[in-house]
Amino acid sequence: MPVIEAKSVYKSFDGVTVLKDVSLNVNEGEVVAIIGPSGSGKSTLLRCLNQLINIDSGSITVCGMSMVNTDEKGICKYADKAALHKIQLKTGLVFQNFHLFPHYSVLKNITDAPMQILKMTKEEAQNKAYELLEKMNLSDKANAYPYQLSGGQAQRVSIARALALSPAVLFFDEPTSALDPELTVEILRVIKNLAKEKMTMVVVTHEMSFARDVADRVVFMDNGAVIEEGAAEKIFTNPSSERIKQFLQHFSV
Amino acid sequence: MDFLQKIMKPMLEGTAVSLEIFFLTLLFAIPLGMIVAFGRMSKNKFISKPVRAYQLIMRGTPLLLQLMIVFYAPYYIVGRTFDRFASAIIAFVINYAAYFAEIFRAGIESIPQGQYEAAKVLGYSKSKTFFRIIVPQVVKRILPPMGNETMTLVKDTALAQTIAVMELFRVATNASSRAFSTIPLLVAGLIYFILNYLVEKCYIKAEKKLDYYK
Repeated sequence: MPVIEAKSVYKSFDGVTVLKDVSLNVNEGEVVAIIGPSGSGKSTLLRCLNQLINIDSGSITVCGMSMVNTDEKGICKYADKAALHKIQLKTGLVFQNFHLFPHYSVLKNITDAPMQILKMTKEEAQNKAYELLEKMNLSDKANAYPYQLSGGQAQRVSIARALALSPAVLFFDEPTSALDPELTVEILRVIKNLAKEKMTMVVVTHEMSFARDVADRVVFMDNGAVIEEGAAEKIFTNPSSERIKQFLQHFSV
Repeated sequence: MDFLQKIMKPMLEGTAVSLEIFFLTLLFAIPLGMIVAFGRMSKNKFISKPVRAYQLIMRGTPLLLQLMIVFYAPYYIVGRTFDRFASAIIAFVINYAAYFAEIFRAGIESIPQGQYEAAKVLGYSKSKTFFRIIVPQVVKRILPPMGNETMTLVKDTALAQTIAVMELFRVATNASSRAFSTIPLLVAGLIYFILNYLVEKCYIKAEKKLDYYK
């Protein structure tokens, strides 16, 4: 069953079309990498799938629940507030700049949403948080505050924060673009481990070797449209589009 | 020494009146300032424009004049004046709310958009985002400018004398002219200083308390 089904999504800002007829399916347990030049609409697509931006037309379905639909007359309609909230909890998003809550400790960053939103007990939430912190190799940082963390640690906390709500799919918006090469490896290792556990993930990235190693499928976007998608190996070794060849020339993978 | 003892009782009573103005102004101007800040940030022009005009008038004209208008205007409109003390409170509240609103607005707008986005994708409602994520960070950021305004307010209460509210400075001026002495004025100055010393101490304490994160 597809976790994400986006069909024919259009979005424009102030008359500039940033997404043109974009469709994307993500199946359970699959890791999809979205690559492409800056400004190609990759991040916008993720933000649409996470309800941070409303689309102009098209349809998005998450775990079989319709988030937004466009009828034959072209009227684009979002689901009601309760349904959108339910869908919101099915998707997690990890940001390029972490966006941890600075006034909360690492532990509270991870437990606050489960307690406030899912009404977990403090004990449940904390047990889960400690478990996730251990997985992220950050057990000793539970009581630290975000300003005391390195970029790599902050990004791992933000991954733990997203996982604490047990989303059906986790999105990453250039998760390593704010990090140095060493810390980048650290985050990519975490994502790789999640892939081994069959976590469904969509990763917008400029790390080509990572996309090739970890992604089951690669989607190449340019100018607001999906130019080509397919198995990682195929895209990197034998792409059919000239544009991809041109783009990949700059990377040695 | 006798003289000092004689003036101390009325001066302390005046201080009590000044403190009443101070606390009542804070009590009403802070919530009103929040409402004004939201009005100012509203995307609806029919709300934000009049709010801005109100703020411009409050910040652009002397508080002294505003006090007079609040107290004397009813005489020309309904033929009578109202309680001096209440008039002073009204004038102080509408004036300070305009200033507080700008501090709140600056604080709220300084929080990065990413905080709202992170909260949204974690499923926080708008009100939970505001009260749990935004407000605590705003409070930390606005403490220094709020300290400024609060200390100014302590001194501004002296303006209430223009509509004959018997606050500290009015009592001191009366005592001073009666006794041909500047001592009551100096005593008043010392009292304002002590009050502001306490205000400053409270703010330092609050800042220290919120120092655990950056």
